[in-house]
Amino acid sequence: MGDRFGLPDLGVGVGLRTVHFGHVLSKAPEVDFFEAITENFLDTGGRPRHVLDRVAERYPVVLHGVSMSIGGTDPLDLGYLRKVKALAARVRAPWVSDHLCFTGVSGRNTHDLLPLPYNEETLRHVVRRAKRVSEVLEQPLVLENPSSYAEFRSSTMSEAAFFARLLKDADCGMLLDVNNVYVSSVNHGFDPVAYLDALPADRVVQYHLAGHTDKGTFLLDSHSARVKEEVWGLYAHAIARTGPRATLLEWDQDIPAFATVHAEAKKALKHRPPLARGSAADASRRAAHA
Amino acid sequence: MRELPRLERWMQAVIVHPGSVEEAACARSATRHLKVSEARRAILPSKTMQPLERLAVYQGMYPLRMRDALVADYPGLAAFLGHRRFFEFVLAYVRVFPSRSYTFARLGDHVPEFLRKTRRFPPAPFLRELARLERAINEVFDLDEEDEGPASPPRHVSADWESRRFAVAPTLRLLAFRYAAGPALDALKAGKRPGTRPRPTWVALHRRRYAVSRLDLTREEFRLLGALSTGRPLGAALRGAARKGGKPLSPRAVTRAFRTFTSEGLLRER
Repeated sequence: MGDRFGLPDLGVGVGLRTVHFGHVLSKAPEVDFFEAITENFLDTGGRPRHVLDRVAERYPVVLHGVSMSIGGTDPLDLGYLRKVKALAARVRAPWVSDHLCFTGVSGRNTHDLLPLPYNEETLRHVVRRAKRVSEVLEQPLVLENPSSYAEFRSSTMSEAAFFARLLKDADCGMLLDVNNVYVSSVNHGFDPVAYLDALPADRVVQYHLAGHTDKGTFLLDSHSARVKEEVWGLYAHAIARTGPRATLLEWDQDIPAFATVHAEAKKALKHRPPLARGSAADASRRAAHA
Repeated sequence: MRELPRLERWMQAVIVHPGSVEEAACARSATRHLKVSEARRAILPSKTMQPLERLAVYQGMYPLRMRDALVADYPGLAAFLGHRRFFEFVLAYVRVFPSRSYTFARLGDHVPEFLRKTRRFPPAPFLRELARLERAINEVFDLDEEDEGPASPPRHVSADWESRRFAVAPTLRLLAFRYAAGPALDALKAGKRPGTRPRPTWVALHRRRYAVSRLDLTREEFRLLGALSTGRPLGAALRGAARKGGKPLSPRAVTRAFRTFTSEGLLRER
């Protein structure tokens, strides 16, 4: 079962991080794909861009942004979006993703993924902006569910219900971060399985996995540890609904050796089939990259 | 659309406030968007946390993110000030110069300017020069210009040497300092305390194979390289370097300087 956009299942990938640049270039590890943080490569002609170009020659690369502020009430930054589009073309990214959140307002960027109230007003606003972004990028925008630590009283629907309507009304894809679902479910007290079941399976384009930290009164999406068993369980449930999708491990704090990160990512293969070389999925992946 | 902009402005005002979350919710910057009574009801409690405690999660992470970004761009400044003072510096800095870009790479653009205006972080004149060097290193790191390959040394001295012109590396940046910013940065990276007395120094920065290199220059070398980078012929550049109070470069010094400039890839034949 593929996604409705016909995007390829890229297999199991790893987030491209500075500490691993040397290893990735010199050892060329057998990784299905990489994900690059968009903003880290937009305004540099130096080593980061050079490394990304070399990586994109060898592997499929998807772009994952943190500053689009799709829920923000400042005007969309069209200059930024055009740069994202150019970078996506440069690395032949099959899709570009960002988060359902706002990152700042009044010209300021907090560089955080701040939560939105889930109601009709926000839905209309985000749908309008997501459509505009897709127009500029000339491809459907893919949005990730963020982890969150606060909920607005003015929300009139669950995050999953909001996402389901947003994805349909704006014709977007979803990057389903299973760890974020789990973190938010504990922080807000909802059923994570019901959340997954409420999402339209054919709009899920990619999965994220990561570790989190128990801070006592809440869970923090720290990306600093191995994926917890509960999250693997949710991933297994989700992938059974959607079929295999590109799956990526994020590790951003206390980053271990590349081999450790990659081995953690490959645990996903317990729950989804590997990309068989020469299979239809692999051919699709390679065609998207060609 | 009425409620969403108000909620976003309020939430941001609380998150970026340097005081406690209670103080933040009561601050004018927040109450102009949401009264305190409204604020307490805007966020739902969880089983384990009150509404403002939940906002405090975001508020607590904001300065840490700013600190991490500025440490990455100003490791020398951070090492000189130490953990606690640097964190105070970050809080003071982002109040005046908050991030207005989609990238963290622009967050530290105003650090030298901030150090020129504040007296809270002595010795400010020294730190400003250190920050100016670190900012220049960051700029050279990100430049769009392509690195040149290995430089071909200029031809041996010939009869037309006075009229010869040279091209400089596209990533070359020349900086003059009133303090020994370069040696100070070296000392700080080695975990040592640098001298902070005024001492004029001159530096060439450039990027080679995607790594930034620093070359400490004499004043005369600095002027010579500066003149050559503007396209002046060698003879005029040498005479210019000797003027403005500089000492004339001896033939041996010129030879040594050229050898260094070419081996570093700074100069090439036009």
